[in-house]
Amino acid sequence: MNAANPSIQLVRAQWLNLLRTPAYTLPTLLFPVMFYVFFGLVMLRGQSLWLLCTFGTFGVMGAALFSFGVSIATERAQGWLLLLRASPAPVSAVIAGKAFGALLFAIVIVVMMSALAAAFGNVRLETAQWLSLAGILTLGALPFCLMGLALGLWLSPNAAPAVLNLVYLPLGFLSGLWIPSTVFPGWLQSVAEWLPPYHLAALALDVTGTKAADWAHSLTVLGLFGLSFAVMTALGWRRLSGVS
Amino acid sequence: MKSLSGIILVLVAVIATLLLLPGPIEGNRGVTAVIGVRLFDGERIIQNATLLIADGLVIDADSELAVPEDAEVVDASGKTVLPGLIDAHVHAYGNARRDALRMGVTTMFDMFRSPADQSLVIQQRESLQPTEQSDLFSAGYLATVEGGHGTQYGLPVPIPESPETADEWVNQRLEEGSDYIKIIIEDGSGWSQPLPTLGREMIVALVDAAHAQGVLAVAHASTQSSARMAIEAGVDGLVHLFADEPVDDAFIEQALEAGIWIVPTTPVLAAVHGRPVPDWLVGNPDTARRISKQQRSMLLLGFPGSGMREARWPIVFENVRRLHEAGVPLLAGSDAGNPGTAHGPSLHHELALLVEAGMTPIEALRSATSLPAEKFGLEGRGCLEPGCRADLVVIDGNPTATAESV
Repeated sequence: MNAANPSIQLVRAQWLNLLRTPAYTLPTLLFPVMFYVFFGLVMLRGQSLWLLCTFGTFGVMGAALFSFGVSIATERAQGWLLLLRASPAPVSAVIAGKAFGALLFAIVIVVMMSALAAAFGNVRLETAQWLSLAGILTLGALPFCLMGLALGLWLSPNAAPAVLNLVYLPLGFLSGLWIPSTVFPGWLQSVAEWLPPYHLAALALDVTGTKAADWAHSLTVLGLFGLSFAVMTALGWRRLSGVS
Repeated sequence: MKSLSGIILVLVAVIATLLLLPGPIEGNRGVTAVIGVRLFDGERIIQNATLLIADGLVIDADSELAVPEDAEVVDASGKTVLPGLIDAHVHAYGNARRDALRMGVTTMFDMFRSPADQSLVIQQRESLQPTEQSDLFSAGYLATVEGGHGTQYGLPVPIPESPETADEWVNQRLEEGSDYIKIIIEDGSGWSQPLPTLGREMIVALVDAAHAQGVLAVAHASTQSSARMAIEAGVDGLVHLFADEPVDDAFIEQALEAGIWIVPTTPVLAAVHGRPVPDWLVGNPDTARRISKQQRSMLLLGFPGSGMREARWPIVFENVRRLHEAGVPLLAGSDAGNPGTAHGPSLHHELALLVEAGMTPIEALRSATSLPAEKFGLEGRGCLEPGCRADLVVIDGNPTATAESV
């Protein structure tokens, strides 16, 4: 193992960071799982599989937005990002460390929800479907990582948590992650179809055999969404030196 | 590198959990063979039959079938297997869909309910996964007039304004997900309670609008004269049998010529004519455990003033008998949701009354399986032939007694 590889070092640093701040790690992991238990297992029994897909999307989206958005905004204000930029570590390693944390959160959330769904919601899937669900949702966190990154680079550390919540919760609801969009009134359904979380949930619903999805369409929406925030990230990164 | 091993540990735990999560129930993956049964396939009885099912569908059903080697075999000798029953007239609210399923009713046609959850209802009925609720098809909101029948339940009803806007009204229902259009023709004359009702022109316009969109138009009519008006307007079926007077030859001729069907809804007619539900329905310990307390009190509830109409009850029987003999298709329906009825048990009540009025048990079973499926254009329901949904009802012995669902 190459101990000098900066990416590995930053992944390791991120891991230690998560371990040493359980007050942040545990609530972030348990919050979406708690939501799923309330809605998917207690209130709407019989819809456990559908809601596993949508609350899973909700969970990974939150993990991605918050672990990127809030921490980047704070670290930028502290000057830590500038310091990192001056260090020999490439930008990619900085992002890799953060992405590792977000994806780890994502997969742990999905697996916890899956285990609860199987144990208490009587959800039964083929092994390949369990794996694809976890895989899709974990990878699907990436565009939201970019969104969190971009917002973190543009927002002040005080504004970041508030703005992220203001984006996260309505986006989750309007995309039909809490209540299936199929029970929305028609006009709200057409709103949902424009939102990226809706399309990530659609892919999750497809791999679990719950509802067929238009893969090309959904992937395009998620790709364009990720791309636009990648551009915003690049602009935000350039701005870093000048402002803070 | 302690932290790296920690990371690897978490990832291994995650993947191990995923691999250990349970798969679908064994029987669902492969073929299940139910052998040695008396099978009603929707049309006829097959003795000593074998039924092969997989993935929620019937693969084959016949008396001389080879059982695949890897099939899970269920020996149900001495039992009768029926397709899931269809109740062609209900109002589903609260626990209705769970209650009905406990008595082997797997599909219900709702004749008036809020369409708020219709897209969920459609999504659920398209699924072949095991469920604890019966499937639902629905008219959504019904067509009536301000203050007319259907407006007394506290559910706001959109009123069709004029024959010119009938198309618009029907299109709104279809956008809400309605599967057919229900039209109320009720002047209250059969119940000595005058009520405003839709006019003939309006009814014709609604029926035409429904047919133009390729859906059925069905009518509530409680008198012979309003039933005749409905048929003249071109409806596909009547969702009640009238009991104001004995059916006459002219009506039978008209019904046969138009090719309409009728849902007798004898359980609700029994209730409005002051007839108590039979003891075998509520007193029998075998059915009692499938009927909830609320259902029981609903079954024992009477319509106010219904005792005065008891003398008219024989007309119901006579009308069922005559219509059936003449060959007018009768679809079993309970109108459960009303006093004196309950989702599930009341369909069995209807079947028993149809037999009492002269149907053979097999004819009665058809009226709750293949016949409603055919008249409402439903594929795969009310049958146990190759390709049908594997909604099975397994009962001990006599098919006209109470059913015991799987």
